Amino acid sequence: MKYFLAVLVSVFLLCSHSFTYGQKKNRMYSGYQTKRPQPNDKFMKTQWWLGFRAGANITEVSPTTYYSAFSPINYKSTRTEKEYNSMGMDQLSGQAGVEITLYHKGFSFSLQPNYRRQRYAYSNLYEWNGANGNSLLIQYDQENQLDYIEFPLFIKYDLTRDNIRPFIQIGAYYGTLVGANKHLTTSGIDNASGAEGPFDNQETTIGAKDIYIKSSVGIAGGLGVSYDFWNLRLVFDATYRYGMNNITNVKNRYSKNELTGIGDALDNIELRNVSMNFALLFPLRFISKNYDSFN
Amino acid sequence: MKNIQHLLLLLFISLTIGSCDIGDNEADPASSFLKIYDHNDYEASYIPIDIKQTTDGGYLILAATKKDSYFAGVRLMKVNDKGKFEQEQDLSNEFVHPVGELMEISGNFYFVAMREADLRAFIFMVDNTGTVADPIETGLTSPLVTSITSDGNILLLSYNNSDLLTVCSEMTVDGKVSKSASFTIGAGTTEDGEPARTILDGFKRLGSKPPYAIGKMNNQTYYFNGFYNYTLSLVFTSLAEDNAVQGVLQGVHRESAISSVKQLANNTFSLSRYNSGDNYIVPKTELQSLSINSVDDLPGNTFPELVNNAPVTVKSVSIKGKEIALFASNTKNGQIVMLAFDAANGVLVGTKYLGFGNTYEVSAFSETEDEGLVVLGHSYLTGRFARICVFKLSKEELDELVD
Repeated sequence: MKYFLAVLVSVFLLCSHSFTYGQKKNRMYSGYQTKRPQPNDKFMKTQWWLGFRAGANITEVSPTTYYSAFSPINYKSTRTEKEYNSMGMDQLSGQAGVEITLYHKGFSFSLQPNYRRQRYAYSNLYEWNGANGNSLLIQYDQENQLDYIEFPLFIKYDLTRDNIRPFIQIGAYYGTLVGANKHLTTSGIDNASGAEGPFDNQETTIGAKDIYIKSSVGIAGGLGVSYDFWNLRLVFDATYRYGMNNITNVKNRYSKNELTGIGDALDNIELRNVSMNFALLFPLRFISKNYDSFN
Repeated sequence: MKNIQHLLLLLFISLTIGSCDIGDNEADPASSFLKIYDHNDYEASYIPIDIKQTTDGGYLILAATKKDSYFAGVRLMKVNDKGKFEQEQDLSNEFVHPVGELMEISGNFYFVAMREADLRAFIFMVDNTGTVADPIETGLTSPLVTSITSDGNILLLSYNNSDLLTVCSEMTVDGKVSKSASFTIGAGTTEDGEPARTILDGFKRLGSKPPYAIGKMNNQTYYFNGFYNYTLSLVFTSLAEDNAVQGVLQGVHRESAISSVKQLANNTFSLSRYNSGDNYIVPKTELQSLSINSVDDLPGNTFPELVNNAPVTVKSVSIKGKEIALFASNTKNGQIVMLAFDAANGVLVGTKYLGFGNTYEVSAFSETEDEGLVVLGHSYLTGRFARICVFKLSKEELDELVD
């Protein structure tokens, strides 16, 4: 994964360098050009954009290996496996950050550092039965909240050159964990303690940063559309992020998890996320009445 | 433009360094784990006693289980190297009251339990697969605790309930007694009086189990922590004849006594004691095996975080090439605490707490092939179901304990 990131950044750097070299080259050998250079040729094919972006995201995780602190004696171990949420509005979270984009001839290279919160949930159900109708059924619902500072790098391609420009983008990201916690809700049915109905109580929130590693990397792809007006660009995009590393700290799976007493042990998991963003970008070059900064 | 390129290069280098934890995020699942062995029967009962590692890297657990009897039944459990449950077996109802330790002798494991009908002590051999051989009858009754000698014999502390005697014996794995001596629990005591009642309650698992212990210092001197002369005392004896007491570290009835003891070398011991609920750790002390002293005269560090009259297990283990007196006990907030003392000078070098969420209580621990540690205890799931739990600590985790 480190090599993948290295290649992406290297491509970005090389492209940036070749643009500047190309501009210098044009200046040096303009006399050989058959067509007299026009201001539009020189200025309008390259643009830097800087702005803010924010949006919402929903997350699910993909478990690759299941773990539990419980090892069943008389029932199947599959009953200790967690039931994860699928992507839904229950896991709606948000992100906000800045964007710096280099545009050239329909292609854009966009770095979008952001602070993002991602949430996923899972539950476990356990049951104990005995003589005389004694039974206890307990469900543990855990909502996990992860806060990352993320550095995504995208390559965009504008499908048109109009004021309204749909685009596609692919890229990769690296996120560093800055905070994590778990919110546990316990509910169930206790037929052994004189209760006549279900109980639903005992909520608690605990820190969980130690049970995740700091890094989260993955690839991403998506669609979007930009709208140019005045000297601004408004962007909307939707991006799917595909995590490519196990974010669980395998060394702390049991030792730093305060919920092992209820059987909890994090599985090996990878993140899947859909993000939607609005961005407002400002051109950094050629802002004047004489030139159009959007082409 | 160059500034931007430099910034991007700096960012790239930072991200590359930051993502190193991805490559490092690997661990052998057998090196460190916590497992709680759950049974979904509301009335299931598990009382862990001792754990040892088998040749396949897994673990053999000796446990007891409540049954329709005064005494607890015998249960053996086998788990694999990652702690996953493999099998369990309950021995015939004929046999009850298993006692630790689970002794590894010549590649097999031994423990002692008793026949319910006549309270006769039997030696059980278990191989590395968990298969139990036919038990071997001994001439002794009512086992209290066992340990192993350096030459592979079994030391058994037992109780003669007919004559109200504490019996200290050394025998082979075949049950042949080489040395044995009896000691009065108190002249004129009766079955209904103390300390006989306390001893009997220990068999019935009513209240806390007295912290029995037995060991061999050298060919001339043995020691046991048991009832002698009305009190729970640490007795030094040659086993030359009955009541051949060389020295005594006297407790005060049952309120003050030794709670764990381990010989380090010659007369040097690591031990713990309690006094009316308070607990004291004595990581290194010279005991006078030829004199009579009081337990309360021993020095020691008080540990108010331990439960009243805490059960304590102490062993001498090697961590990072250093001999460590490792104590394990139970805290008032329901955790297991491991206290590591440098055996050379008695200085506390590290503390580790095990268990979150439920109440955890320690039963035993032992070293593993990978230079880690396996800790056996039980945990109360949802606060009510006592289930066996095993903490496996890796070598790195153990090293951190003494860093």
